Amino acid sequence: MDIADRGFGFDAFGCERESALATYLTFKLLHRYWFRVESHGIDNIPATGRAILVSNHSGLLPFDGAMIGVDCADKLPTPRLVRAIVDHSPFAWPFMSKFFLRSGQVPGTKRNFEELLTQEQLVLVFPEGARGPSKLFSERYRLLPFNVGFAEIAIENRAPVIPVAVIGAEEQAPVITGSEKLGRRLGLPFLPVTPTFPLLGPAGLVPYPVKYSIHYGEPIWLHELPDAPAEGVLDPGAVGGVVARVRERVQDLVDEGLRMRGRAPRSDRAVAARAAEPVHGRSVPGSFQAAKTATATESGAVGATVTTADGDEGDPVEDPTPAATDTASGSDVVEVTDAEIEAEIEAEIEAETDAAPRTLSSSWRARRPPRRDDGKGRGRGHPGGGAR
Amino acid sequence: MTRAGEPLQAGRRVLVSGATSTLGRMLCHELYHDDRVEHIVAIDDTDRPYYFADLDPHRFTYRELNILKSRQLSNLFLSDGFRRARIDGVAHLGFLKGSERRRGRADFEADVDATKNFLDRCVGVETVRRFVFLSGSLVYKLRPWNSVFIDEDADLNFDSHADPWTKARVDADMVCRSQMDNGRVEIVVFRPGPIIGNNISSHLNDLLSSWLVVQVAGYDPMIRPIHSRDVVRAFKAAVHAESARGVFNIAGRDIAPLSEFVRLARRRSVGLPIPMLRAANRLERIVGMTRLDLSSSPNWLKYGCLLDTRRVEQTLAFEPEHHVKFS
Repeated sequence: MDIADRGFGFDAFGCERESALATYLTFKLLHRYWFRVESHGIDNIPATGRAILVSNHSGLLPFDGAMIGVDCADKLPTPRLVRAIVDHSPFAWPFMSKFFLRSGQVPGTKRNFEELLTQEQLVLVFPEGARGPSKLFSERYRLLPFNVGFAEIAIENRAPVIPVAVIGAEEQAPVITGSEKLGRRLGLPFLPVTPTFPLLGPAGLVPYPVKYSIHYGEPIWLHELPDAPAEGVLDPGAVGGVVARVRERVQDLVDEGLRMRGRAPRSDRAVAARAAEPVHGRSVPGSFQAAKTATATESGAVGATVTTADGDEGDPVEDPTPAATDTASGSDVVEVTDAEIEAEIEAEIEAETDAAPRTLSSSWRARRPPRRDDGKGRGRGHPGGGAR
Repeated sequence: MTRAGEPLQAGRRVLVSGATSTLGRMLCHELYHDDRVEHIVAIDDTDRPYYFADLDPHRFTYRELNILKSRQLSNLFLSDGFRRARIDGVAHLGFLKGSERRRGRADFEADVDATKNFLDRCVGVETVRRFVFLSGSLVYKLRPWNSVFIDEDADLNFDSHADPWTKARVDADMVCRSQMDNGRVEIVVFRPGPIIGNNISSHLNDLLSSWLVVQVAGYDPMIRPIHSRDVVRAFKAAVHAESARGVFNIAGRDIAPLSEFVRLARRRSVGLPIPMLRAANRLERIVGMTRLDLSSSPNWLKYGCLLDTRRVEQTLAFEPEHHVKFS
């Protein structure tokens, strides 16, 4: 693990090799015995040179980042120190600030990010930001909108982006509810309520011993994408498109990880659940694959079935006309084409995933009663307020 | 009349304010031994000191005057000797000279007014082409979310609760910057990192010369001090540069946490929470164990302040040479 030593054993950010090593050894115990981390595709991380790991973020305390760090130090042929770009708040707290800096974490500013890439470091970012860990448990494994800063820097510095999905962290501290207002008063992004916190005090922050699996995707060179912004011109629209693509890739990895763990991704489950519900005399398939394998026997229980037009799994279909009803079987069998099913599924998934999951702030805002427009508003922006 | 862009005279003629301060004295000697400097006019508010006694009066003139006094300043600029000297560069080191940090707010304001007055006078002299001012790194607003390297465009500390010393620095810095659009006189503002050197009054020097170094518990900021010799070299580079204008950070070669410098200075240190730290500092000052005043917000003991020196490297080709040493 190399750091750009400035002559005293520290790099400019305050990272010290010995401290980083001590941190690694401590978290290695958690990596092996507490979270029992499995990793997939770690070969996608380059052995040398600049690279940006872009991961989903969750779990109240950033053990996901720590586990990625241990993974890269432990499982790469040449151990690499992961430099995580961290929210500002820990750097304001005594001891925590020192610990973060010594172990190689860096306050999140553009200049810091670029400086790390100039030093050919492996940088970890969580583009969901501090909102990620504030996600409610009911919204787990659904990515929030990504911040775009990392993509701009990746394009400007021609650094590959490696999508990363951490499975397990979402369950280590299930956030039931919380308060941003109280959190801000304490200098935190939010104050969470979990089944154990604040009930058990600080001990309630100890993460549950969930099993982690970390999935590393193939590198993406954002500046080489066909829809990447032209060199030197960071068009917000184009950058947004590129970010959406990275987010999609991370979500794919999350879904893939969930499937490998034997649990259908939320998007799949939601659509599959709806497949069982009769909708105007026919059911909607759960997924494309599920639709293909749906049989008349299975669907008979709900009085409807869907077969694909090519009929490779179900009975051969004579008439490929969509929505043809087989009255001979005595049940309403709706036949639809592959393309139709695929389009329908995609629309469903898109509607599910595009709707931003609720964070504490959004759910709070939704629950908050509307302001009275009785002329007692406090701000200028308030309808009842105005300049005096 | 000299205009920006015109070649300077063969030999520089430099006015140095605050000449009896440690940096002023070093700069005067450095310029005196520089063949490219034709004449030096040194001013300060004390009698001619012994270390200037041996200097050739044809090349070096010392005038006793207090720049806080407008009349004395007027007399200098109107004097025949000064006019004959045809000064083309000014190094202003007379701002907040010595250990004035314990003075009242009004005194600091007077210092800022004096700098404004001095700058206005210098800008009014036809021959003056460059004015170099020594500001400081504490003019920057130090926060936990600052970038590791602070460039010249970073936010300044305009906090209402900042101590008068910092406020005066920021005000004087702004006074100089307000004249930067002057077409004839090039204004150079140096913002050095904490200066280390014998008899230098800087916050870090004062901290490290304390009998017991107090630090904020749980913090160990990265710092980049500069050797006093390098500050003098930067002034020389600014005086001799063909063209120089703007704000420049200058910093030394060594980057390390504060605790490393405490260790190098062979001092004992103790980490205390801020309220206790202030009390300990007050006690130390009462018994004369330190010159440092930590009554205001000691953010520089909490958050790192590494100056980004790319601009000075590119514009003035200045790079630090000296490592920090402690005797």
